[in-house]
Amino acid sequence: MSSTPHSIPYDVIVIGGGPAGVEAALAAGRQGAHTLCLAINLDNVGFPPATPILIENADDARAGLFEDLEIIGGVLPALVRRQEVATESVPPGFRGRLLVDRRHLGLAYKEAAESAEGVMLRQALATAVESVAVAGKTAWQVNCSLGERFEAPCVIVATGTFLGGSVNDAGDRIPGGRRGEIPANSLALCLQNLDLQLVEVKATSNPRVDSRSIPSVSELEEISLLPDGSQLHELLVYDLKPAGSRLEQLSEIRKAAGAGAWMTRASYTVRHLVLEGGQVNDDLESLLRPGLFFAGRAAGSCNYTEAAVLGVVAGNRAAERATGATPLNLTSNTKNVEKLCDAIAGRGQRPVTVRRPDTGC
Amino acid sequence: MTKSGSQFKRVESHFDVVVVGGGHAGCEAALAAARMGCSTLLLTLNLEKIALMPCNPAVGGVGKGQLTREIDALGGEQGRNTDSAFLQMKMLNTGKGPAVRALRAQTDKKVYEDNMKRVLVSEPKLKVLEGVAAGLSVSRETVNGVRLTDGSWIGSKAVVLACGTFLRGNVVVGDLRFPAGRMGEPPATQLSESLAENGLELARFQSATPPRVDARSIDPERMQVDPGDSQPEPFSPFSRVDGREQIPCYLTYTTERTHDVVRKYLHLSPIKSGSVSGKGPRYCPSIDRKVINFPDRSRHPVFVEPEGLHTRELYLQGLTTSMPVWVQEKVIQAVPGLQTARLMRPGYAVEYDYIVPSQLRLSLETRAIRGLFLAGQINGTSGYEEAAAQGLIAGINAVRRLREEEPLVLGRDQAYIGVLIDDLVTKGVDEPYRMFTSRAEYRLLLRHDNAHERLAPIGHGLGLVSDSSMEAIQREKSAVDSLLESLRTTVFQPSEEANKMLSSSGSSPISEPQYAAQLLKRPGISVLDLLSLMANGGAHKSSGGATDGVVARRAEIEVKYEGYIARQLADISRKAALEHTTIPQDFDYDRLQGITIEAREKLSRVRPVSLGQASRIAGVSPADISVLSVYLHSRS
Repeated sequence: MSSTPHSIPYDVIVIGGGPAGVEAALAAGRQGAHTLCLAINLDNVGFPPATPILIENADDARAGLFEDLEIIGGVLPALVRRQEVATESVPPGFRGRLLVDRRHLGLAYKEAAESAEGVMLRQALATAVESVAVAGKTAWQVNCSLGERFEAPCVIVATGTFLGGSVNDAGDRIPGGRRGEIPANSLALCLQNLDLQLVEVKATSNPRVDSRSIPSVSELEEISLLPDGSQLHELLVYDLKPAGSRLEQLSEIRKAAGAGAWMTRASYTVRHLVLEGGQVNDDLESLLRPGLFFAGRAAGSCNYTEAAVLGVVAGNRAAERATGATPLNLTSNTKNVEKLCDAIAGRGQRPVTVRRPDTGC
Repeated sequence: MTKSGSQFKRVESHFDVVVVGGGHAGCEAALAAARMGCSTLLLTLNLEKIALMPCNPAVGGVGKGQLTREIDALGGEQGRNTDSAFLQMKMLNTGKGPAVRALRAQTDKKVYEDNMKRVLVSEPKLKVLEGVAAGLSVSRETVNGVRLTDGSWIGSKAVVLACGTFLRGNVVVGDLRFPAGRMGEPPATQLSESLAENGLELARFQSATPPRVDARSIDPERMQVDPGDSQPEPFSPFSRVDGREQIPCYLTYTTERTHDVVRKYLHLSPIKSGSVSGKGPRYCPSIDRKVINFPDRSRHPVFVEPEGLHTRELYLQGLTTSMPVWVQEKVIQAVPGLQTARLMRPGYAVEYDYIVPSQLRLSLETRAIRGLFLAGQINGTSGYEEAAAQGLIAGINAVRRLREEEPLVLGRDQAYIGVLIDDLVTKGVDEPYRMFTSRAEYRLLLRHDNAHERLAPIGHGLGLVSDSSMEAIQREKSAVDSLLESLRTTVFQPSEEANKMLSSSGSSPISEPQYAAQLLKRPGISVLDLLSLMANGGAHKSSGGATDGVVARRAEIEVKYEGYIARQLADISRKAALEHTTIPQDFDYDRLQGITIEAREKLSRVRPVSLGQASRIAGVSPADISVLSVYLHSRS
């Protein structure tokens, strides 16, 4: 059964409502595409789940990419300039870094997605994409877990860490895109059955500590702590990703931060599937499955800025393909964007954009 | 040898109180325990979801508003937090008696969550931890810790379980069922087993939530605007809410056409097809249930409520459903005003384990395990207010248990909170319990306007209400008392001025001197009418000075309803004997001759603390009470 009888057909469907998915949906909407963005949980739309760091310092390769992102129409730079999103107090040793309040950035992304002309946000868990013929043309049908079905000529997969995701819980692995959130497992199988080459990578989260339990942050020598959220007053432990059980992690943190340190969130690892390099063209469209685009972590990005850039590129290109709109020039004046897309497409070197890369990038 | 494992376990962290669950019950419990001076840990599956409002973006309402007000009076947080996050505030039933007047607020969900989070972490003795409880550590029928799924243990002297809908939760939509505590979130699977192992009886309930639609896709022209009060009154007397901009809700109604759509697809409803295990709430029924149960009603109201200032999601109160998503879309589009509405989130039901509440004491401690307290939906209630009220009491009593002090048990004549807990423990539940004013036999005494007078002294005694707040509350009470005194002693002469005021209010003139209070009992006469008359010197004695509106309204209620209030007080006196006749906790009902088998069973299960509580148990008749009473008195 298809969705609403009154619906105008969609031009682009974005699977995934994280930063990449939202940027893709917004970009497609700007190009006049009637766009549907599907997120497993609308409370988490646009939520940057990892660190609050957008840019390490002025020399960070992300800085150039961040500027390019704004040039090609990404909304992240504008959102970050909002008062509640930019982190107020940046500890010494982190000056020059661009830090965000992750919760408020998520809420700002959600607001942008819900207000954009031509963009519809909807809570649904995509379980499959299948090629269908609609009025003599091929299109993609996205099937969802509660029986919902949506069709569009172009689909953008922006599943973040959720595709075939599993999280560890003291030695056991349980399904999860993040701790406490269910993953997209059926979709993973489906994409594999479409002969798309997926590879498993992992991402490790940083532990968080209660800021009240650290007497003097600036005096710590062995670890750095970053403010991470105005609501729960947590500090993200930046350069330590302790392994092992919660207690082992706590013990390691206490060695560096004092016996009174209290860890509010232990580090954990999420394993998930991403598209192997070299399977998309410059437009981030699958070489094997036309009309299927990839963005964000699912395409191989390593940080929010890269994810956003890929989202904007995929969103624009998918919209242009679906509606016949004039293609935007996204690379002539934005060399960093060009380099990133080249790398994702399997040509050229990956630009080094993280000082301490996650495994899998 | 503990029931939950005999291996040596390293306990790295110790707390006085561990609260499992960061919802409305959990937050109140954790705050109360920490504020009373105990080291407290709030353990939650997901720190981002603390104080989440998964259903209605509203706090309060008839019955519920009284609970929230009482939570505030005792020093709990829900009232204040609602005041900080409201989008619209309304006093309901202003045209009816004061017993049913209740405050209701629409809230911005995200602001509510953020503010509660900040309050939690500003409590010095409160820590939070993201983790999953897998079991309890119990030794000699006393809880001494919580085991997490990561294998670690947290030691504690008392535990409050406030797990909401997460215990072996399943989401149900149409004929689809899958494990989840809420949509998109995995359930808690191990804790139920631990509770059952420790002798607790579990049962299943279900709760459902309506769809959300995109605000840009509704047709407001075809709906009525439902605004807030022009002068919003907060839950807490200390909140500043003047000048706060309110946003309206919309009201529409289903039509016969809507009902036809529901009936056409009723066979796909999990309620009808029986695929949902567990009873659902009667008083917050799904639209499917309403159409089945009320076939003669030609329309049902649908309130269209914003979920926040910065989101386009609209909550459809009155269209709760767990029918297949495509049916939900058809039903919504058959409602005037929603004919082009786009679904953002589908409605769904969640089934979950709850603990049969007759296993609790009136303190919310389980009888089976010392130091284990339960609060919220886990006890078979529905609603944020019901949950928060229990959380507050559970947190307070966890601390009282540690200190070997008597628990706080509020009577049915003292608070709605008392009614709530007494109903749960004494009468049990066969569907999720929701508070109504009709549940409170002494509702004329348990009013919104006198909640702080009744309960703040208790909160103050516990250390949850500050000295300055207490003083302010006492000052208001003194002002009310002094105004009452004034009204009861001031005499109005049958002057031209007095009679002019009376007739302009539609009341008959007086020919003999009358006390002000006597005149106030007349319908149509307000205390403000009398005060202005008194100020103009039309009376033997004047009250002097300006009188605060709140004080005036309180005094007016006391006078106008004096007769009814006196009757309720007399009723309480008469029943006091029953309430104060205690029954030993180890009383052997098998020894009692002359009571029915059912009564024997029920009394043994509930183990009432008093004859009064015994009389409220379903299946225990007045004759049974008589027998028990005679027995107890002959033994004393």
